[in-house]
Amino acid sequence: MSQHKKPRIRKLRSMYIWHRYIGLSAAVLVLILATTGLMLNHTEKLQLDSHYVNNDWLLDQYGIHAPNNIRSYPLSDRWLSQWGERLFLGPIDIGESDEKLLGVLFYNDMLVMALKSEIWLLTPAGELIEKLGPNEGIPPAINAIGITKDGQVAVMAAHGIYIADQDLTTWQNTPAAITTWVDSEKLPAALRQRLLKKYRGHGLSLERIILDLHSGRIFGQYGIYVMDTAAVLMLFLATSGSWIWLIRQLRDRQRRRKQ
Amino acid sequence: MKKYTPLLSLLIFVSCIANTSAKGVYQSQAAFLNQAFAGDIPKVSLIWLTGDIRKTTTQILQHKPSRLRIRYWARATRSAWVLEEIGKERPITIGIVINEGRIEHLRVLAFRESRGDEVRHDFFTRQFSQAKLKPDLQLSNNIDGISGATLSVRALDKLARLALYLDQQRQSKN
Repeated sequence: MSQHKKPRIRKLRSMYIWHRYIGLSAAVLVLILATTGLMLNHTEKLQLDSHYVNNDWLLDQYGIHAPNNIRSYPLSDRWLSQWGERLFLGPIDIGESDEKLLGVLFYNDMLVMALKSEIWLLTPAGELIEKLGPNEGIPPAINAIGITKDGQVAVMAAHGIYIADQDLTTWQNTPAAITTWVDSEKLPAALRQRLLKKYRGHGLSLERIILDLHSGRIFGQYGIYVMDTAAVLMLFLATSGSWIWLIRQLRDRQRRRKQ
Repeated sequence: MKKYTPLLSLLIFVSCIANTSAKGVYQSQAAFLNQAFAGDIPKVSLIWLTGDIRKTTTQILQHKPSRLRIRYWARATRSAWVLEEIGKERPITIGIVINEGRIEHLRVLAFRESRGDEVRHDFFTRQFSQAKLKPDLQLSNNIDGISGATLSVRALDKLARLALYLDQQRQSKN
């Protein structure tokens, strides 16, 4: 029995055996680290930050859900909606604003969209014509947009109703203006589903996934320690590999001297 | 400890300078226009960036314009423009006064980038004075760059050329 034990102990003491088994067990993690590291080194070329992940399971894992504050306004043939900070004209992403969307209307072949302190003018295709703010004479604290009885654009602001000229370049305080205000409505279910997918899909970039794979965070709180272990194992492999090489060199030299 | 006090003070001073942001609003649009027209600001006018104007604007900016309509203020041969262009990441707002096809005055109104704000100083903006637009859409004046502010310098150069080009369009429209 003791005769069998001796070689096994010697085996376990052998750096070569440890090097082999640790190398095998770390191989998968090293592959992940090396591949993701290479990808991250070329983020810009691979455009990782502009590619988004649409996988529902992954999006759920990251807790990317629809925002609570969806606001939507109907136009004649489509909808303008705000999802969190993102704005959509129908299914088209037209930009972002942290201000609350207050309404939209068609005027002179333009879409006039009201936010709390800005008015955006858009082409019917959703291209930005101009953003009007306080510098352009927009009254402070807008809370509604509408059209007057005479067909002029009006906004309800902190100090009353303001009416714009035809080019929307000047705004006059006109308290007595009879105005029909734009009201929000609920998005149709089909468009809501489509936008939900688009909104969630824009929330998780490929770069985020690769980064989390590289750091191990994608596997939860213990994933970081798994990757830490992989790094420690790689350090061991580098040391044990050098050690094995050195020992072999010394042995070969001794053997040559004896001969 | 005493002998290290001056060294520590110097380190704190240097770190304070390093943390100072270049961001700032140096003049409001209203103040710029008031100064440009001595308090008698003309009615705002609009120029649409469509057709050939849009093509040339894209050529000058080296990207599609971010808006389709630009405001300006003009009286006779003088016009004032407030334009924006991104230097590296954030837009730089500049005011330009043009008279008879030459830049009379250029001023950085707001700078939002974290570095490169040297372009707001008079020693730099003075270089644009009396510049006009050559047929190849370049400025007639040679503009010396500032090391560390290359993108801001480029943004100002583009906006100066754009304002001169739009002023030409305004004049031809009239």
